[in-house]
Amino acid sequence: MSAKIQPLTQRSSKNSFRHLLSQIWKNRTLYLLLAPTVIGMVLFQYYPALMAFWGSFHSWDGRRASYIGLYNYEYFLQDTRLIQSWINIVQFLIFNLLSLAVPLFVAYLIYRLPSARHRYIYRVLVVLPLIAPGFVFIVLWRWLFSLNGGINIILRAVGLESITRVWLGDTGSALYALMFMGFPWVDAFTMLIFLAGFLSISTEMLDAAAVDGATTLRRFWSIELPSIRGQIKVLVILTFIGTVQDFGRSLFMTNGGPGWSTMVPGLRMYLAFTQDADYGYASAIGVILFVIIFALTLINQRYIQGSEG
Amino acid sequence: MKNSRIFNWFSYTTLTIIVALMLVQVAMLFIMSGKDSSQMATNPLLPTFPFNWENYVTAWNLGIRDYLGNSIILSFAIVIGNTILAVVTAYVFARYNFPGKILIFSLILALMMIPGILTLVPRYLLVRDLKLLNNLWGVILPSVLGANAFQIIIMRTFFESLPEELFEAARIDGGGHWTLLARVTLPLSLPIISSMAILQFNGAWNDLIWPLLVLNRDELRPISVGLVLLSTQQGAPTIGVQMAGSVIASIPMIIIFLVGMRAFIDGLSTGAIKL
Repeated sequence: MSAKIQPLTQRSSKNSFRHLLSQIWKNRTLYLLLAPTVIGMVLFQYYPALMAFWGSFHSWDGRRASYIGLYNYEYFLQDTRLIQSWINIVQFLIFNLLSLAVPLFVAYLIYRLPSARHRYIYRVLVVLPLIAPGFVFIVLWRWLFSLNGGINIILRAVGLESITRVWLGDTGSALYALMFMGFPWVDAFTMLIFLAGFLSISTEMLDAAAVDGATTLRRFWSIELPSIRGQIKVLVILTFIGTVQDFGRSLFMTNGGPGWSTMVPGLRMYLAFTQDADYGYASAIGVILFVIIFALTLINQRYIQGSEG
Repeated sequence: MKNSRIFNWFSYTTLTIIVALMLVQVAMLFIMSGKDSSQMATNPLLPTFPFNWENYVTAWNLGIRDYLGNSIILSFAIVIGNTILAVVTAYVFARYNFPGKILIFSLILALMMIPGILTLVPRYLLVRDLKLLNNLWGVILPSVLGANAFQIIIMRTFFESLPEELFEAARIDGGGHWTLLARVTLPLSLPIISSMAILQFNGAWNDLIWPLLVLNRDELRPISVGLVLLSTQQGAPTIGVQMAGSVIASIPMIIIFLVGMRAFIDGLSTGAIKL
């Protein structure tokens, strides 16, 4: 493309404006092609996001709204029962981040298998459980955790009758039961991302390490783990984002109970919305969760980038 | 570098145990789907005979038939609509320069920072005001038009990596946008597009919260919502029937897995490297 160089005179801004208009007109087909995406994005993403901020400062039943300033946020801070939901979400976060180690470990073992064929077979086997959709496991695990369900049957069979219980109905166990639910916590997508990272490590570096007589452990800590830093970073961010806003498990397994033992902020938002029709308060919780996700992502970004140099 | 024999032995054993623990859960769905109440009471975990196929008939007639149909309509509409929009959008960004390109693409990138939980309530009210509650379009439209940033970004990166000479040659032959897209870009990008589509199908098939909010009438519900509500309601059907419903809900993913597994795993792995 040969763009004429405009002389830098007083008139150039007018000319470049005309030039811009002609550029836009020339590319009108491209704008038409992008129009559905842009309009849809504004309508179903940016507009609702702005409305959430707006709504959080209003008493809002979905039809009429009156400005109440920071009341929703004050109410949120004074709601002492919510403390439990924050404790719960922090526990979920810690657990979910730590459990990323399992798919990482699986990916590492597959990557180190001596035959390409075996690597492929195990990769398929890890992905295979995806044939059963996630919600099916809600049905399965509700049964496994029930009084005469799978977990208690196994415990009785090995003589641990004393610790059997209704796992989801006991304030002491319900939250941990929800964490245990994904056992053995190997998410196929996560595993594939780690594996792709391992498989892209250059062999020269590994050969050099072999010549130097590095042990398997040394090689893992000094070469292989640092090489997948990018993948770890992405998955840590995705886990943060996913965990902070997730409330599906609490909703469908226990409905936040018993008591508030499995309540999470996202579920409190959902209940404010669906049961209390308190859209302003629900929006305020949504905004707070957004701010947390945003802040955590920035911190994560900066922290790991800082350690890269 | 060669592994020691002990390391290999350890790897195979550990991997086999972990994979077995995952697959046992899938197998249990099928095993339990053949049990009646008395088999369930006496031997819930191991396979029992006779296998009660009636459970499948019962589940089918309890509404799974409608739920399955709804899920198929919703998922296909979402995948097709989304893929077309994402391909066109990614193609325009990958191969052309135009005023406002950076601004518009930044807006798409920034979508990654808008969590679903922030937009949930106003999006519901928007769909209500568009008179789309209790209408399958109330699920399809926000999902298709809500722009899948991840998909667009992955595809754009891939389309940009295609050699410019191919496009140049097509242009010299007098090809317009349509030819460049349909004859050059698409054939070369089928693996990445199909793996993105499978990923999206998986997401649409699994979606619970949004259809639960938007579709209140039982005959409109997708199988995710239908099955979970069926198993939690008062007077829920027997575990065998619930599991039969679960197995039916898995059929589409089984088919996709058999047909497109290789494309799926390979595509996901290449996509993952780009992350």
